[in-house]
Amino acid sequence: MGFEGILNQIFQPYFYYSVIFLVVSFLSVKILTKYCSFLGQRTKSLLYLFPLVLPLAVMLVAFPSTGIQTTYQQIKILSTAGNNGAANSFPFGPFFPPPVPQVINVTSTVLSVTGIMCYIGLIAGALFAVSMVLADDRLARKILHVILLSQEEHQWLQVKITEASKKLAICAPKVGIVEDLRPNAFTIGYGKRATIVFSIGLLNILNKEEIVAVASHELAHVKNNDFFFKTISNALTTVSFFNPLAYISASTAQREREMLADERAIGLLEKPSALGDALVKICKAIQNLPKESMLVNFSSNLLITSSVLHRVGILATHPRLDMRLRNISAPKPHNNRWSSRNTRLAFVLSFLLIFSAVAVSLAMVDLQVNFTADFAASHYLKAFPSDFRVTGYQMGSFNGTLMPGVAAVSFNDAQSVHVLIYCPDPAARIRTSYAEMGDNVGFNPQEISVGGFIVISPQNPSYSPIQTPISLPDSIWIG
Amino acid sequence: MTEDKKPGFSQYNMGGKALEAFLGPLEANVMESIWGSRKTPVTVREIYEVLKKTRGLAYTTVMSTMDRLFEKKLLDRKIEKGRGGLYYVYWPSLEKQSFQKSAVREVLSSLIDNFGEVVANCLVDETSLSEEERIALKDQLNRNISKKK
Repeated sequence: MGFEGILNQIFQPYFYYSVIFLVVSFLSVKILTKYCSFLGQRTKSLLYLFPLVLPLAVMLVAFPSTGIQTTYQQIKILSTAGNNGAANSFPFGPFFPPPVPQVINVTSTVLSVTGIMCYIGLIAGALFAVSMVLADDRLARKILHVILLSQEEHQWLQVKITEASKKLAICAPKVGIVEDLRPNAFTIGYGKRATIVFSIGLLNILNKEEIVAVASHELAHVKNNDFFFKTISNALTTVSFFNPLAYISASTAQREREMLADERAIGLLEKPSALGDALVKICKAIQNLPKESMLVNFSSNLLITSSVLHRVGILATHPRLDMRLRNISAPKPHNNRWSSRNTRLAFVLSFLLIFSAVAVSLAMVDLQVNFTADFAASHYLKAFPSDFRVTGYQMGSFNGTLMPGVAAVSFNDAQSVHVLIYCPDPAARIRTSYAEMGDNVGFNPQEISVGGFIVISPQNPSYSPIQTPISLPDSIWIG
Repeated sequence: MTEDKKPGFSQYNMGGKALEAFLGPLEANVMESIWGSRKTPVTVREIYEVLKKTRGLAYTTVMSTMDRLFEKKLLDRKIEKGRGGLYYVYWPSLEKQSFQKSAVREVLSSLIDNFGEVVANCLVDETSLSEEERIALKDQLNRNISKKK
């Protein structure tokens, strides 16, 4: 696949627009969430889902295809009245009549790599969402080796969890443990199928108050329906799996949900600082323990709604410890002033960003079409002698309508400029030829041939036709 | 696994059957499960899965039992890294026969230390030897016990 092929793959609408829309909307949301102080954690997290929804919408409108169909027009140069030499010589100007060209439409289909990627994303995303909703808790329990506690085990904790669940008006989730010696807690499943899981490591290092604080954080996730939030965000990320920004957007959204869960959890606690103490202890403890492998980390992250384990980095699903501690100790009051300067600025910036991005993306498509045409022209005119340089190529238009099959190729041989035009429609031909020449080459046509190639030379006194006949290729491809 | 290791048990249960004479019923069950396990080392969860079927035990009970057996030096353990994170894996310090031999020897040694010849006489009385053979054996044993002391 050449450069032209790669461009052709990238500029397929389902791929191109899904990537562009995700990038632009993510940047807009980033600006809005940074400057709009009235936005709460819940709103911010939902806003970060927006960039992930757009590619899906694009793919549903411009449904991906597994093949890219390209139609080329081939101008076949036929001989005139049995004079093959004249037919294949250039320029024809002084030696009329010119050869008769014949246009052949050639259709070729190439495999659409981007289309297949989009299909994989759509299918994998749908499968992920369905399997999570149908079998998440059972699947996760099996994979993560979760052991459900009996009623007698850690009874005090189960009582506390039941009490807090009543306060939140949710079904008391089941409680489970995993053998992991690293301190961790997470939630799997949703609604009545929700299970809060503690690691042995966490139960070993935290006191009862801190364990209850961690449990409250997990209960807040259940109350906030974060299972569905995470399932949707992961499924949408899977749809755009080829776009790195999708992962960043999903991680940012999930970090906002963590802050939201912290805020809700401290409302349940008699001593809110216990949650901060627990997080500090957990962070200190894991510093001395080996890290999870990337694969384990990734797979468990898909299955669990929230893990208290603190990870750092742009793809972290949890905010930094200092940010969480600050949020726990003094939750940021939300400023409801829509008219604040920053808010206005954010909206203006976002609008400008979206507007310019749409303009740029449309210009890019236009550029790609022209580029492909130029590329095709230069590619297929390679058969010309090296002293001929292709200087322009474009699809012709008539009355503002693109005319397939109207094409112009100009090149110069250092002495003069010659332009070949083929116009299938006689009415359009002449007018188009004039217009095109005037606009693009900057001189008037000297000679126009009806019904075939038109060889135009500039009205320049120094112009002298090339004496040596130059061989033309048998055919010219027009993209 | 060597026979020099001295498993730590502090009492002998007269009413206990087999290993339960030396260990608590749960400890004996856990040890039997570990010795009977095809795969060693084992995790707490694996032993819990086995015992849950027969005794309906809770995971935390099995975990604390295995922790106690480790403290008694009947089990060894190390931290392993796997799919479930970091976890302890356990294996017996002694093979079952070595453990039994070592435990009986310890009990006998304690009895002999405390009761000397009486122990030898009682042991010989439990055999199916003739009266003459018993007397001869008792004499020989008592001489050896006296020498040891």
